[in-house]
Amino acid sequence: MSAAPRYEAVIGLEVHAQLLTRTKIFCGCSTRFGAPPNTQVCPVCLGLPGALPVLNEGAVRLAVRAALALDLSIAPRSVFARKNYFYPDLPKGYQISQYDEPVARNGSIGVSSEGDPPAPRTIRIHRLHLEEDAGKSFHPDAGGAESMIDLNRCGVPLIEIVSEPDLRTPREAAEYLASLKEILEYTEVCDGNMEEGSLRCDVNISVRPAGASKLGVKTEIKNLNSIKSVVAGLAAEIERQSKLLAGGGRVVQETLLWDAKREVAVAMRSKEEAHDYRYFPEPDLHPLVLSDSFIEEIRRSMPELPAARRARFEATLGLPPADARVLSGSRALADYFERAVGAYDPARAPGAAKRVANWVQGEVLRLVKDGNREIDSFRVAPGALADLLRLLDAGEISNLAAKDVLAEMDRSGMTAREAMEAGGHRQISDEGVLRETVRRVVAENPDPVAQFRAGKEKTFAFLLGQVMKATRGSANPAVATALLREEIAK
Amino acid sequence: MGIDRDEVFRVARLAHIDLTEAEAAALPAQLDRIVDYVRGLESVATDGVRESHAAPATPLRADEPAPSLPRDDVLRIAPAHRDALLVVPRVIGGEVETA
Amino acid sequence: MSGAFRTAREMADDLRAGRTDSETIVSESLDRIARHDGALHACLSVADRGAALEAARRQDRVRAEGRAPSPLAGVPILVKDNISTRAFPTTCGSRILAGYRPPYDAHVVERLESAGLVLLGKTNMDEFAMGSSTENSAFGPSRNPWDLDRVPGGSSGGSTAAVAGGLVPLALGSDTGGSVRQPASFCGVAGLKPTYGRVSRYGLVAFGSSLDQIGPIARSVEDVALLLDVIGGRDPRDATTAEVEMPRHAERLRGGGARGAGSAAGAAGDTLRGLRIGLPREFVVDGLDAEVADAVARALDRAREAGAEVRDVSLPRVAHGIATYYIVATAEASSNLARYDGVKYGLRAGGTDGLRAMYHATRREGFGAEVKRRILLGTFALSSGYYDAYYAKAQAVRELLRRDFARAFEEVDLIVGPTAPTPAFRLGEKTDDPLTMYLSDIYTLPANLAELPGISIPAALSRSGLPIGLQILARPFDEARMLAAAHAFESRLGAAGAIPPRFAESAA
Repeated sequence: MSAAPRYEAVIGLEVHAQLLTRTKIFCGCSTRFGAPPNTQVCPVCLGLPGALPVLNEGAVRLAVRAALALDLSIAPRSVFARKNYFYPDLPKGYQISQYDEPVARNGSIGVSSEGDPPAPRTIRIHRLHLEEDAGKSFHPDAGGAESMIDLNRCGVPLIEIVSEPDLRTPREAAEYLASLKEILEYTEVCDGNMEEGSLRCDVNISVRPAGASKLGVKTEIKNLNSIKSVVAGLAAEIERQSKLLAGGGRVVQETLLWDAKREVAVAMRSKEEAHDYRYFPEPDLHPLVLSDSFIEEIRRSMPELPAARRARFEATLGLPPADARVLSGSRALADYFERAVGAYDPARAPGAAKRVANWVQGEVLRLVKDGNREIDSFRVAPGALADLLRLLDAGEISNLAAKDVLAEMDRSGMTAREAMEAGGHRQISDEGVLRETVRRVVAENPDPVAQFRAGKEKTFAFLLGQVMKATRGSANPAVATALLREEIAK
Repeated sequence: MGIDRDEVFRVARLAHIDLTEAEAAALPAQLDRIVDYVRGLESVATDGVRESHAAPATPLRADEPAPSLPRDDVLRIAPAHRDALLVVPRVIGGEVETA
Repeated sequence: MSGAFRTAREMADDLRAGRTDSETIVSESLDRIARHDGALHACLSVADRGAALEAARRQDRVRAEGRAPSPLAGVPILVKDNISTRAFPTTCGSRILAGYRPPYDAHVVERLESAGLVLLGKTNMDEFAMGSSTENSAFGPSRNPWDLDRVPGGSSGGSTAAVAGGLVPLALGSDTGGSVRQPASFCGVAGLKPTYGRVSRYGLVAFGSSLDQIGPIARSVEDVALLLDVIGGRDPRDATTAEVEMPRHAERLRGGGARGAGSAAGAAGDTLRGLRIGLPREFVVDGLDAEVADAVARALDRAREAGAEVRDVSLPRVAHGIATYYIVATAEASSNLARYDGVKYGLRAGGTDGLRAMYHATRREGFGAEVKRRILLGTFALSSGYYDAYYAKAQAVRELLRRDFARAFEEVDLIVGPTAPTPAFRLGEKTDDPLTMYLSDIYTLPANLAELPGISIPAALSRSGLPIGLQILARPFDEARMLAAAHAFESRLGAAGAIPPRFAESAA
């Protein structure tokens, strides 16, 4: 952005999240992603004449769980409504959603990325409601005469989460979205996959002179498929609107589509008339009534939220904030870490936790990322990692060897001890055995030995390295060092 | 006062319905009369009337899978399909409507 | 009574007694359809003879093994063409669904099959159930067996014509504003609209979702009860069906009385004794034909003779019923019919001018004028700027009407009146002015708006030989009391089972 910002941005986010139910919101068809086209449809989600919706309890539970995690108030009674419009991927010609009486209202998420030092701010969430997803349309030839429709996605349950326009910068919006995503993943409400479309974000953005109280005209940007796109899209639009206003122009209320390749927001060609969705209460569904006990049961079974977990890692396990943040990055990783700590030291002393933290953040994540995987597919169970650390503690292997052993355990699924034996990594601390090797190395490297004797300290490292190489990394470095010095001194 | 001709055609566009010539000639006047008639409800006092909450709660369904339709059944009734996808004419000149 | 004009109960008795078999009954039905449906045009599709007889034989075998699935097993039936059937096209009387074969059966169709009834085909109707005469069918009107120049009523005119003409003893119709009761009245048969939520709508092509119900049509009240027992009850696939327990209505008819469970009285005479019957003063309107008023009055005289108490009641908002109905029903219909867009099933028109052109052309060619009228009216009532004044207002008046009925039912047990203001009118007589047609629904609409059960039974024939119906309304889920009273009226009035002269078996 150019020079002194005369304009401030006012940003609101609308997020649609697909719920992790087994079946669709109003019928028993599977929600599985990636099935062959038009194989996961039934009279209900296909919109056949005579079909009727029946609400999925699983979807209700997840919506309530999400609402509780976002601090929203749950309405004891909420009502479904029809949103009427025509589109080929909307079989009934209306979407069953919620309008006047959504399932939850008035929540918030904290952000703290702006300011120096960054100051915590609360971003208010206006509402959360349940609705059904539409199908997918493809346009095989750009500029062609046909569209192709796959209705598998029709009826997949969604929650729509609408923020108040409390966000002020693209970075803040990214943080809000990242936090929201993390919370939905932690609570197993949504898998948060923006590339596959299980989490979608539209933004509303207007600008106004800095310090003004009246809102400017807002535009909407759709098709933002990643947090990165959200930031880029917002930045671009803020710039566009600011320039326009600065030049005396007016912002037109319109919907733009983000083109991620060209990094530009394209106006959808103007429509003849504004949307009139003709919302009215869905006559095929009575109101959703949620008892206090139902809500309480969900509250009680809520998993720990990311912020709380991070705080606990710091307070109880004594981890530094940076470690806590990395290790709570995903629920799966945090679970892995905690289980490993518990297996290594049931008392969970801070020292033990830090030791495990170093290994998980270090070698474990390196192996996982190298294979382009998630922690779920790491073959070393938390208990097995703990076993490896105990071998290290007991001096049975060296640090260096332990890294190789871990890689082997991941590759083959062997236990720590098995991998150690198989790889010949058992640390050799026996002086008798090592002395042989040390003697041989000294005998085979007369020049380096002479250099060391002449005062070149650095060659010691080379000679020690040769001992380690000869023992395939298994020599106890301390013992080898002592023996090497002895031998050279002779 | 019921509904005027322009309004009838605006509503027809909203409903994505074209009228035949004969209908375009007859319907606006008929609808005008009908709307004028139903406007009689204005005279009924309804302040503060809300549906009684005797309306039952919606029953819920367990999150258990049920068989989907065999794809052949879906394609058999479709007006046009190719490669297991439904085929429709492309939107021309702007989105028809989107969510 | 033998032959085509037996009641289903009589056929069932004959089957049980071995005096006949289902194959014979079904064969005779098919013969009568072949012979008479040309004149009536009650049917839009008819079963293949071989398949139907095979189904009948299956029922005969099962009965011979002592395993007849229900009292009505082996009896033939026709079903209105807005009820989804895998075995037959389901057109709703519309070009837009011409040739559409559903890949699933409606819940009630599954029930009929489980109960062993033999489905012989689908009946004609006003397009998408919008009409009161069956003249709005895209495939031509049906005719009234009592006078072929007259309408059978609508929208379930094909079903009532078929039963009245002796083609089948039983049929299913659907009722959104009177579409089972009014044609039953015009054709001189019994027709019942259940309480909203009593019978599953899964598979019934929706018109007014908060008003629609599928209803039994037959030659006697007992048959109506038997058929209601087959199709009624909670269905997990229709979230608006009620948890309320479903009594065995037919058994209660034979054993109980109108005073409800626990009554030991059996005879029809005792049913009416002490029964409190309400006659709404708002039912006296200018358009009410004198003969109809007279028939109702005489029916009430008989009730008084039997010891019933007839009282004046008031339903102040009934006068606004038509306006309320034509806003709520058309609003819901405008949304329900948006799915007919040429994309997934049914008619597609419009060549290659793009998507919007396809939508417009498909719906222009596929929908008839009445359907378009109602879609436009409903769209208007929901549209931005008008919702509060029309749709929201109508729902509020509807609630007031519900309360009017609730108050009346504190004073009386049943409400009685005419089913329609006139007997059957001539084809073409009311098609010029839609509003005039709408006004004739005045007695039937209120039950749909208030979600009450209602039944029409034949009360008398007019001087010109046209049937006149009597309507009885009851509290929600009180079909048992309503049927008992209807049964009592039926035996006193002696109008049931009349045979239209042209369709008697002795006739050519």
